[in-house]
Amino acid sequence: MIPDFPREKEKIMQFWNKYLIAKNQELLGFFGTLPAHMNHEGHQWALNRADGTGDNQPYHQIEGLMTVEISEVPHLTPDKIREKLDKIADDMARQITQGMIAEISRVTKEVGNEVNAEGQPLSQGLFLQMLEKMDLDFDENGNWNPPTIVMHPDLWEAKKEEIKSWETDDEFLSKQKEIIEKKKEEWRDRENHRKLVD
Amino acid sequence: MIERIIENWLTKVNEKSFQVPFCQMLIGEGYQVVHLSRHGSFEEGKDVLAIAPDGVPCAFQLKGANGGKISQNEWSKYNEQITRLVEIPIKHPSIDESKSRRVYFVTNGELDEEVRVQITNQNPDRVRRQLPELGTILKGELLNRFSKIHTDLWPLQLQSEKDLLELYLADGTGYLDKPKYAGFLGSLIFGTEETTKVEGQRVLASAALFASYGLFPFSQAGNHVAIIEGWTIFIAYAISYIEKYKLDERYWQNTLQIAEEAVEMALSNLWEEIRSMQYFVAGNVLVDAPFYRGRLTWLTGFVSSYMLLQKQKNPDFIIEEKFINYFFENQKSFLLWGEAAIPQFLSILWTLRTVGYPQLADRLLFAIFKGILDKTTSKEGIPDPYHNLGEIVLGISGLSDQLREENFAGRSYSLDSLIQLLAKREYRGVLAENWKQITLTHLVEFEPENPWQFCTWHCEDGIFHETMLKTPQSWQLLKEQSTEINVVKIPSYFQTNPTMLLIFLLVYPHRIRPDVIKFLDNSFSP
Repeated sequence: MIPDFPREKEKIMQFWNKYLIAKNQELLGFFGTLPAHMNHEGHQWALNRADGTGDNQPYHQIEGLMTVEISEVPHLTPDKIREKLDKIADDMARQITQGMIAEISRVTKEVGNEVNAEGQPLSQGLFLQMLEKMDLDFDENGNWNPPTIVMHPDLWEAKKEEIKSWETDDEFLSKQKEIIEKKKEEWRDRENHRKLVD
Repeated sequence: MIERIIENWLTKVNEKSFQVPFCQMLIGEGYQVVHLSRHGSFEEGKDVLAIAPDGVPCAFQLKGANGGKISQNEWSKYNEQITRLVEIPIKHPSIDESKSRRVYFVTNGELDEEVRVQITNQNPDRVRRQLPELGTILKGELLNRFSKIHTDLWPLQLQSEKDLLELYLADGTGYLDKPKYAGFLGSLIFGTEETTKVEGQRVLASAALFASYGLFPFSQAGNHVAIIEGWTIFIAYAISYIEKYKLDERYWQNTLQIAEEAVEMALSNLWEEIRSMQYFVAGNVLVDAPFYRGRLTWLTGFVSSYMLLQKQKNPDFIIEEKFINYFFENQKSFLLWGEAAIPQFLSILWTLRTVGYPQLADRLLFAIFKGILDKTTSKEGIPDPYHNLGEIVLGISGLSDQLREENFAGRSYSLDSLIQLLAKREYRGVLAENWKQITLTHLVEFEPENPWQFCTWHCEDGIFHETMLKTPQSWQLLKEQSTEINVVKIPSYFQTNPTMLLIFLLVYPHRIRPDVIKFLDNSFSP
């Protein structure tokens, strides 16, 4: 047997593990900014919502695969390791993102909040329809916290100029304002319900 | 390697730390241990009383052999105790005094030749006087008998051997590595397939001995908290085993009784130690400050549970003035260092109610409720009960990344329990005032699938519940909820022994659940 360097390797592995987590977080983009908690035990997660509805889901495994040929080892430079880990991070980020989108789709469909465009391109009407379906959030001063739109990069490229133009379209803005005002009332109502009653 | 550890342990262990494993060995051999003396030698020179499998009452006196051999000089010091051991009949409610008895001198060393000869020469005279002969149990025999208990129950995996060695060589002044210790005991207890009920009794006795070996460095250092935690983990795993295999009470009652005695002795020793301390400092004083207040809270939680244990055993027990003074002198230093501190505060709170300070207890309840609520709704949150004081201090000091990798904001494992305690006590105003903030928090709890899994340190089968409170919430409903207790998932052993459940919760703070807290609250402040 030839000597190994287990303790030193453990430290280097810790470095690469941290790199992998950071890279994965970076590739998750918007999804990486969502608050995440660690559930230490169990095989299932049950959510009980304020409105009395609930959801029960098993945990899903996210995994990435990396192969290292023994013949590669002598020339496995940090850059090459980084390249391999980037692929895993990308693969995992894709699995997480797809899983989250699938989960959001399932839940919105279940509660009837889905807006089906039925093949029509994204339009002002569809966007306003989406806003109508959502609970909007406001800060303590009543300022609107606009939601984030997640869309395919190709769709964004094709539509970004048009979407930006909505910001100067008075008719659109007026309709949007009307919805937001209505939603603000609903939000106030929701906030006022955060109390103990008889 | 394990044989060597046992031999090393047997040679080094002192007589006080030796009592409990000796009793567990007897139980493993089929004896029924009816008494073990807590403060040194029993009045009649008897440390342990037991009924042998053949029904004969037995008395044992245990002596540590410093240096390996008991000399003539040393033996002469024990003369009076030996005379009492042999000549005074066993007086115990479980033992028939009129029955003939066996008496033994037990040591983890050897006897000098002169001593051995003296015992042999005196025995015919004892028989002539219709007294029992004095038997001896020495190191070699002990080693043999300990090993026999373990027959077929040796740790099967190399990992268990490694864990035992690491536990055995640990720095006894630190805190017990609970996950490692629990993992080790779990692999022993559940590592063998259940065969017969009697075998189950031996599995538990064997595991109890391994529990002693693993706690050796802490026993040597007089680290009472580690001993409390270690024996509590053993009890928890024994309960798991009992619940899982539906083992009849007669096969485990004695084992658990002795383990409970071990916990109680360590609690008593802890109280003896800290009752006279002015400053609760340990080790390197220069860097002790970050641990000081959290440790004090931790210790007070245990000492409080000791008071409640005394009260549970004897309802007429009066909690001494010294404890009350200790509380008043130190209460300002208590610290809500993490959610794992909640059982510690609740232990203090229930003791305060028991000693006649219900208002003070309620003030403490408001304080921890508000503390948890404010911290949970802050940007950082409060570390969940899976993190111990050491990890949290390192995390706060920026010396560990472990806590930074987790997000604690917006959810709490203990808030639901505290809300229900307040509702039970009709504190509607306090809750109403804070209700909006409460609704911003997700209340979480872990529900193991089976009651036996409640006692394992880590459990893969179970549901993690995350609940958002209703908006608006009915006060009437909340009040009703606060008095409803579902004990189905609480092992039956704990249901008849609430103080042990509290001690369990101090050691396993991540098992906090509203039903557990409500059950304890009903037991301590009905």
